[in-house]
Amino acid sequence: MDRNSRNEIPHWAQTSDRREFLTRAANGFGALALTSLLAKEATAGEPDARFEGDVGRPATTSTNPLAPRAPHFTPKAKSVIFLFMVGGPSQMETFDPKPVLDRMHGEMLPPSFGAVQSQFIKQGTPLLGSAWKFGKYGQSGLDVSELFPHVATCADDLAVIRSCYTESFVHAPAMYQMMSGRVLASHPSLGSWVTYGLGSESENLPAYCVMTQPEGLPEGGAPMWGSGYLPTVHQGTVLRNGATPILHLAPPKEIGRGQQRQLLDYLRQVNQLRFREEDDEMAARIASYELAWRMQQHAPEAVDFSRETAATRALYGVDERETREFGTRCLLARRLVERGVRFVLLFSGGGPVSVQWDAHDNIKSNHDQMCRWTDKPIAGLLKDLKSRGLLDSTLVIWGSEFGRTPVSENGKGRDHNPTAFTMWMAGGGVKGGQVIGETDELGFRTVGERYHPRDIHATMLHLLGLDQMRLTYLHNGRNERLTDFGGSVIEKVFT
Amino acid sequence: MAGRRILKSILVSGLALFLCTQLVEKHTNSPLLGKTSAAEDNDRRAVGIIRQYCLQCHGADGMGGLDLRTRESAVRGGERGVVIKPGRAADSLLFQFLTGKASPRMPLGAELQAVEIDVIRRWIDEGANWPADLSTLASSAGGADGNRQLSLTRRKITAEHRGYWAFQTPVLSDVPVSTGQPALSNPIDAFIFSKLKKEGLTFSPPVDRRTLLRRVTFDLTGLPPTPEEINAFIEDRAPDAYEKVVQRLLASPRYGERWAQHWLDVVRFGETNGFELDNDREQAWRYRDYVVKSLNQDKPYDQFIREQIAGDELEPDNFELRVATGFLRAGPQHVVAGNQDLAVNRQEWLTEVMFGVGNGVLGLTVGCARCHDHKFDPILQADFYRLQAFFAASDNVDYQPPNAEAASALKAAQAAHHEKLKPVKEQIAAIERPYIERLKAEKRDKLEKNEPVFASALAKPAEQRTELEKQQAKDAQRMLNVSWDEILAVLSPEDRTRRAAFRQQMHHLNLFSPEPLPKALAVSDTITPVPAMHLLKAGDPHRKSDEVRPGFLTVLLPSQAEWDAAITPVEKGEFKSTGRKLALANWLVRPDHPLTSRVMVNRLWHYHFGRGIVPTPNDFGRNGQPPTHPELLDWLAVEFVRTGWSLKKMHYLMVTSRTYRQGTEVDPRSGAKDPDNRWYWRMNRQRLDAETLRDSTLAIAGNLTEQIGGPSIRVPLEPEVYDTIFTEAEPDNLWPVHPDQRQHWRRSLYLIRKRNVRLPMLVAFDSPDMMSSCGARTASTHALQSLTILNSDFMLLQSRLLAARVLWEATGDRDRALTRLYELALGRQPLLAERRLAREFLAGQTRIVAERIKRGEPVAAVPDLSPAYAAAEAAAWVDLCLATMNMNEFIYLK
Repeated sequence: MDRNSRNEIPHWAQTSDRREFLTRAANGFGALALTSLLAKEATAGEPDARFEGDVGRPATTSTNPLAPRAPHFTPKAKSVIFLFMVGGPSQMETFDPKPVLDRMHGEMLPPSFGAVQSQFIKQGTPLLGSAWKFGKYGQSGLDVSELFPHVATCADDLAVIRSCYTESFVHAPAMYQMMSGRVLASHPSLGSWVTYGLGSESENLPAYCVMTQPEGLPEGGAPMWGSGYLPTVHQGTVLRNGATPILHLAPPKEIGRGQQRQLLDYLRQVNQLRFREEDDEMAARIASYELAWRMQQHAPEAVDFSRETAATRALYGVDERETREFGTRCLLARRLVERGVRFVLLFSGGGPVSVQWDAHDNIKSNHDQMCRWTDKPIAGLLKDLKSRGLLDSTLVIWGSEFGRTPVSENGKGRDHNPTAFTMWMAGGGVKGGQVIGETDELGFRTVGERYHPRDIHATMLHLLGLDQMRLTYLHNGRNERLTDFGGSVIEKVFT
Repeated sequence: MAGRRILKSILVSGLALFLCTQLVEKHTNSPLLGKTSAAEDNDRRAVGIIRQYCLQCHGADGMGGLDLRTRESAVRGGERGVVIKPGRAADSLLFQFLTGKASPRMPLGAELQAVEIDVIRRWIDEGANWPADLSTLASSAGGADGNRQLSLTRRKITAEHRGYWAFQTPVLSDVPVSTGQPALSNPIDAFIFSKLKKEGLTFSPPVDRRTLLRRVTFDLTGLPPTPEEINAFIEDRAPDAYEKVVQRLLASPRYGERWAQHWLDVVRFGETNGFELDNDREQAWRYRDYVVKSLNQDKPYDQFIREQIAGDELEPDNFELRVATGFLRAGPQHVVAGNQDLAVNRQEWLTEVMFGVGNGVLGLTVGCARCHDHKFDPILQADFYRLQAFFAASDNVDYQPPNAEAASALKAAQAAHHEKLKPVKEQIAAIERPYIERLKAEKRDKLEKNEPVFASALAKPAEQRTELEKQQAKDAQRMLNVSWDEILAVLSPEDRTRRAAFRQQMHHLNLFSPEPLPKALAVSDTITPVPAMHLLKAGDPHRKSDEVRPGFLTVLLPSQAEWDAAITPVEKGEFKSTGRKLALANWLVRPDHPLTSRVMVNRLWHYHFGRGIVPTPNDFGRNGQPPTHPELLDWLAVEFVRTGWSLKKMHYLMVTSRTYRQGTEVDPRSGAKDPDNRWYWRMNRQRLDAETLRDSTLAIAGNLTEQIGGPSIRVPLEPEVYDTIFTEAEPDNLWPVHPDQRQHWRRSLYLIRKRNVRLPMLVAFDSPDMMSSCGARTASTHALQSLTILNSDFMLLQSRLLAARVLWEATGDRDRALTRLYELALGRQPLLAERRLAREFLAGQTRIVAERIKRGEPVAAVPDLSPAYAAAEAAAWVDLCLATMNMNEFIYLK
C-alpha cells in the first residue's frame, strides 16, 4: 500500500499493515530509524553524557504509532508553538490601533454599526477608548501597542492578522473552534491532527505537549487538547512543573531507577521466552517499555534548564518576578521543539477570572498584568529560537478564542467580541513585518477578507507540508478533517 | 481493517479524478468539435467541471434551490442568492464556495485542483458563456424550476438502493452440510468451515483447556478465572464440562457487569454533561444498573430496546422503565450560561437522540443526513427529520415517584446535616471576615481615588441617579466585590492553613450528606402542543424547510408505502403521551426488521471474536465494510429473533462453537493465505481492554469488591489529572473521593464516568471518550501505557497486596508462592525457565533493596508480612508481582 498516496494518511494500527510491517522489520527499517533519531537527539541541546549508554540499546520500535511520517509536500515548518491567550485579549489594545475609537471615548456606538451581540452586555454601553499608545516598529513599521515593548522589537518577524473571527461569543465553544475547527467538543484538536499526520521527531518525549497556567485551566478544559476520535496516543500530554513533568513518569519512590531497570530487564526476558520473531504486536509492546524507560531519562533532562546560560534566562525573564512563570514555560517550549516535539500548546491564563485575559471589569488593570507577564517571555522565545536557527522551522502562533468589544462593560471593561480579533504568526516560513486584514474604525467588525479558524488551521497545515484535504480520518462513516469542509490557506502569510 | 477501507476510498477518489481528467480532455481535444479558441476552450472546461462535480446535488435535485444544468438556471441562483455574476468571479458566490471563501466549501466531499478553480474563475470573468451543445443535455433531463420547494423526494430511492443487502430482511439460508471431518453440530461452525474449505484453509487445533477457560471467563465476565475454577474444570472429565462452565458464567452476575460495559460504549453513556462545565448528572448511574440487571435477566433484546426508547409509554408508573429511557439522554449535552440560542440547543438535543438510535440500534450513520442527503447511503435528509419527529414532544424529565413520607424524612435529614455544617462554616467566615473588610476598604479607597465618576454615582442616593449613573453605580458595586482568590492572596499563612483545614472538614462532612430521593433521568413527551418538525436546511434550526411527520427510513419501506407512521397516543391514568416513541420502538424491533437483529448479533460476534462479521459494527452502510460471512450473519439474526431475542442463547451458541475454541497460534501456511484471519482459521488474540485490565489487577490481588450497582465511585485521582478539572471557583473540592477504600476497589464499571476527567490508566488503554458512540475500540500500544502500568500508585499498591497474598497463602514456601502468583495472574504454572529467571530476579532485587534500606531509602512494604521474609525480600516480591502484571501474557488474551 502506498502510504503517501494522494488521499489519505492511513490510521496506524491495522491488521492489514502486518505484511508491510514484516517487510519493514526484515529490512531493519526500525533499527535504522531509531539510530538516526538517537543521533539527532544527541545533537539537540547541550550534550549530556548520561544518555550515551542508550544509543546501543536494541531498537524494536518500528510499530511506534508516533514514528515520523513524511508530509504531503515540502514543509516550511516542522513544529508548532501555539501561544493561546485565554479569555480574549483586546485587539484595540494590542495590535490594531483605533484612533477613532479613542476620539469617540464615552460616546454611544453609532447606530450604523448595528447591534452588539455578546455574552453579557446589553445595548447602550458607551465606547471605551484605549488607554495605551501605539508605536511603529521594525523596518516594516508594524503597529504595536506600548503594552508589548519587547514583542515590538520582533515586529519584523510577525505576520499580524487583524481580521480573525469565530462563531461563538461564549469562551468554551469559541475555544473548541479555535482548537478543533468546531464549536462543539469531541473533535480532535490541532496538535492531535498534526501528530497524526507527521508523527514525532522525538521518541523520548510526548509528541504533543501542553503547558497550562498554574492557577488553572482555560474554560474549554481538556477537550482543547483532546484527540477526539483519533487514537488516544495523539492526545496532548500536559506537562507539569518540576522534575517529573509527565504523569507516571518517575518510578515510585519505593522502587527507584536502578531497581526498575532490573525489573524491565526481567520483564523483557520473560516476555521473550514465548516471543515469536514475527509477532509485531508483541514486539511493539516489549519496545514500549524501552521507550518508556528512555522517556523517563530524557523528559527530566528536557525540562531541566539549569544549564541554560544567564543570557538565555534573562532573555525570557526567568529570573524576574513577573515573568518567571510564563518565561519558564516559554523556555521549556523552545527546549521541547529543539528535542523534536511536534506541537507545543502553551496557555497564558486559566482558572480564576483574575488570571485570564477576560477583562470584563477593567481592561486597564487586566491587560497591564497579562501583558507584563507575557511580553518579555514571548519576545525572548522568538529571539532565542531565531538565534538558534530554530525559528525557520518553528511556527509560532499567538492568538485566542476571540477579541473584545469596543464598547465598555461594567464601566472600564470590555465584553467578548468574536466578530473581529487579532492573531499573529511568526517563524516557520511566515513572512514577517506585515499586517493582513482590517477592521472597521472602531475595531468592532472585520472589513473585507476575514479569516475563520479553519483558515488559520489550513494555513498552519500548509506550512507543515500537510494538505488539509488529504489529512483525513474515517469516523462514523465520514472522512473527518481538521478543516471540515475546508478552509482557505492564507497565502499572504508566507508570500 | 481501516486500511482496506482507506484503500477503497483512495481508489474511488482516484477514479473520480481520472474520470474528471478524461472528461475535460475529451471536450478540449475532441476532433468532432473542431478547432476552438482558447476562451471557448476554457468555457467547455468550466462547464465540464460543473457537470462533473456539482450536478449530483445542484442538477435535477436542485439542492439549495440551485440548478446548475443550464446557464439560465445557473445565473438565476438559489436560496443563497445569485451565484454567478458574469464578469466578476471574485464577487460570485459560486467561486467563493469553490475556494472556501463562503461556507461550506464546495464541492462537498471532493476538492477541485487549483487549475480547475482557475478555469472557473476565468470562465466567470469572461462572461460565463455556456457552450450551446452542453446545455441540451441538461434541458433534456427535465426542466429546472428555481422556485421549487426543497422537496421531500429530492433524491429518489431506487430498487437498487432497496436491494442493498443490509436493507433486505435476513433470510434463513440452509446450514451448509459438511461431509466427513470434522463433524460440526454447531451451525456457526458449518458456515465458517464451508468458507474455510473454499479458501483452502481449515480450523486450527482446539486450544488447551486452561487457555479456553481463561478466554471464555474473561470474555463473559471480564475477570480472570480463579485457580480453583481452573482446577475444577481440568478435573471435570464430563463431555459437557465446558458447556457447564459456559452456563455457570452466563448465570454469574459478573456477566451483566461485563456486557453492560459494551452496551455503555455503544450508547456513549456518561454521568456528566461534557463540554466546559461538565456538570454531574445526579443519579445517572441508575441507567447503568438498569443495563446490568437487564442483561443478567437475559431480558429479550426487543423488550430491552422498547424500554429504552418508550419505557414511560409502556408502563408510566414503573420507575425502572423510566430509568431505561435514560438511553435517550446518555450522550453529551452542551449546557452553558449566558445568552443562549434555544433553537440550536434543542436541535443539538434531538441530534444526540438520533445518534443514539441511529448508531446504536440501526447501525447506520443517520446523523450524516442531518445537513444533506446521506452521501453514501440512501438515507434522505427528510428521513433524518422524519425519524427525529418521533421525539418532537420529548424532553429530559427527572422523574420522581411521589413519596411524601420519604420527602419529609429527607427534609429532616438535610436540616440535621445543615446543623452539622453550620459551626464549620461559621469558623471559616470568622477567619475571612477581617480580610474581606480590609479588602473592601482598600477597594473603596481605590475607587474614590481612581474612579471618582463611579464613586460619586455610587454615593448618590439610588433614587436621584440618572440612567447613566445607575449603570455606573452598578459597575462601581461590582468593582467593590471581593473574590475568593483575592481573599486567599491576602490571608496570613496561619489563617490560610486554619481555613483550609476547616474547608476540608466541611467537604468531609458533605461526603455524608443525606441520600437524595430516587430520581430517574428519563425522557418523556412533555412539550405541548407537539411542535411541528421541519426539514432544516444544512441542519440549521433557523432555516426551516418543509414540515415533516414521524416516519421511518424510506429505503426500508415498501416502495408505495405512506411515509407517515401509524401512531396511537398513549393514555394511562394521569399519564398522557403522543405514542410516537412507542411507535418507533415497535418498528425497530419488528421481527422482520433488516437491521436491528443483524446489528446486535454482529455486536456480540465482534466482542467474542475480536472483529465483527461486519467489521464496522456501527456502520452497516456502504461506507462500512461488507460482511465476511453474510449467510452466517443472516442465520444468526433469524435465529436470534426465533429464540426470543435472547442474548444468552446467542452467547452460548458462539462460545461453544469450534470456531471459538480454536487456538490463536499462527500457522505459517494459513497465515500466508489469509494474514488477517478473515476466514477464522484461528481465534484472534485480544488485548485486555482498559476496564478488564484494571479489574483483573484487583481480582488477582484479591481485592475486588464484588458489589453490584449503586452510586458511582470517585477513586483517588493523580494530582496531574485533578489539575485538569476546569473551575473558576476555589479548586479544593473538585473530586470528592469516596471515604471507604474498599469502594475504590469496585469494578471499573462503577467508577464515575465524568466526560472531562477520566482515569489515566483507562484513557491510556483506549477506553472511549463517551462523546460519540463507540462500536469497536482501538487497541493501541505506546510508551505512556507502559509508564502507567509500571509507575502508577494504583499498580504499586496492588502489587504490594498481591505479594502479600501469595506470600501469605504459600506460608513460607517460596516455590509455592511463585506457583501461586502464576496461577492467579496467568492461570498456569511457571515453566522451569521461568522459575529460574524469577529466582535470579528475586535474588538480585533483594540485594538492591537491601542496599537501599541501608541507605535509608523508602522501599515497597508488604502488609501483614510473615516473619519468614525480610523486608528486602518482600520488596523484591512486590517487583516480581508488578513485572508479572506487565507481562504480555497478562495483557493479552490468547
